[in-house]
Amino acid sequence: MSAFAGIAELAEALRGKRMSAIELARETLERLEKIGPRYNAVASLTRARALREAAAADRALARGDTASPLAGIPYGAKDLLAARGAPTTWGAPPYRDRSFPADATAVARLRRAGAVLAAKLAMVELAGGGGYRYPSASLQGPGKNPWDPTRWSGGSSSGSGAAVAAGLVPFALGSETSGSIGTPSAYCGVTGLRPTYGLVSRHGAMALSWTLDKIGPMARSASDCATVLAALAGPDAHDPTTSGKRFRALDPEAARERVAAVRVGYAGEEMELASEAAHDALVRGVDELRRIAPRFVEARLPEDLPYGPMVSTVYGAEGATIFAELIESDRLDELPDERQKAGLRASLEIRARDYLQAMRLRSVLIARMREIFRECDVIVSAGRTATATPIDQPLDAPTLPAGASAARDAAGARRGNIGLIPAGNLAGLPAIFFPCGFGSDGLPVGLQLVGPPHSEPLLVALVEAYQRETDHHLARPGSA
Amino acid sequence: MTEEHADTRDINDPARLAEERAGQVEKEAAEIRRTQVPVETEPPTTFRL
Repeated sequence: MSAFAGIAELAEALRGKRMSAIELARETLERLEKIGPRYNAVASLTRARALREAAAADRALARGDTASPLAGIPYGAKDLLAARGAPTTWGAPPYRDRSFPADATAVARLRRAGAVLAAKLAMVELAGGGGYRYPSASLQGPGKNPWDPTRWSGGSSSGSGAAVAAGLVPFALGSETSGSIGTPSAYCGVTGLRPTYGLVSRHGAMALSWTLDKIGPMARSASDCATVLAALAGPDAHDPTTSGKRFRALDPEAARERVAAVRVGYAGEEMELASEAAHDALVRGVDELRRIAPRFVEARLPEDLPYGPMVSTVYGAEGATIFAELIESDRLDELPDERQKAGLRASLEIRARDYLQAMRLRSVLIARMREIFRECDVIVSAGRTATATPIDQPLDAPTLPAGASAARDAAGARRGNIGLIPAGNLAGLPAIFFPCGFGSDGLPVGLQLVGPPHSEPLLVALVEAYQRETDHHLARPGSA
Repeated sequence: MTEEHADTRDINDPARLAEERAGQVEKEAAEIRRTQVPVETEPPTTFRL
């Protein structure tokens, strides 16, 4: 069985007795152990647990219990999710020896679905809430990209992106406050789904921002993301912010009808500002999408809202409150990234007035996004406008060509679709990130589709249709 | 800061970073405050039980 097999293919092999869950778990653990360190992708292996869960899956399959598509399927979880029996470090040296006595709800739900937790995956320390300068801001070291280990795998779900891209696990759990599923998905060439705020319980997950954090799957395809999301979504008494809604993919006929009729909102500015390496692949990707969903309409985000300052004020204030004890202690000095430390300290000084004003503007944004989604069903834009940056490049250095950076500055990062990542997160909107080819530098390039709250079934159907007609998501890095 | 007064400290100097990040908080606050919300038509607070 290929290390790059998807969930459905693996499930079929398990049900057909062509391999056992134990064999699959052992192969997965071996790849994680052998190849994981090349990319600094693994925080810790959960070997004993994996073998125990795989044995349970084999027993269930032997009984003919084949209802769960995740039975016996291995995965990795970002190291901000608690998992009983394993360390949960939040990627940060002050927490290197810490573990929790119970599973996070997301991990518990996957366990109940028969999935096999094989590893905790590396992440940027504290999900990067202080504004880190270097990819090395992680207990596991800089996340290296399987397509080119001299490049970053993206953050903050660095290990989740690299592990899926390198064929170490068929899927992983990541989390996003503002960009942390999208960036590693785009940089590593995998498909990632950021659910609607409140669709997936965050109980047992490190909080960076109570009002922004989301947990979602990263996998080889939209179909695989949907399979995982179906197991994750739903109400949780331990997380009062859960909406109570569940996720179910559209049946094939409904999916065909919705895709044929979907109105895709598009604004070209993001593409015009793309880096030279990423530009052509992004444009080709949009053209491919247009052939599948031809009803393109113009869509522009509100131009008068400061998305960047809004999102950093919200997660800065919430994160500084959450980590106040750490920030005010000597243990903060254990974090390796000086900019991250300075950012966390500075965020303690965000005024209540400014936090509340940012939250007021969020309400305005949510109402405006509702208006936009009267004219279109989804918005398409670049997943990231540049390909993965060099591993030693400061992340606050410009990634765009001089002209594009100047244009973006002139636009105040507020024009058209610029700012879709912070805007989508501030409004709690779901998004799916998917590969659409390669840049001129040979690195993955991806698009994102954003929809109104709880439009995940449509987003998945659209990318499934795209991935049936293209093979970008099937490309494999040579170094893995 | 003008060219002739460019900060000569290392970009990772903690004191320099502390000043820069504090300045960033102020800059973002100014941007947020600049965007007015009309109180006459603003809906009630979003807090709910």
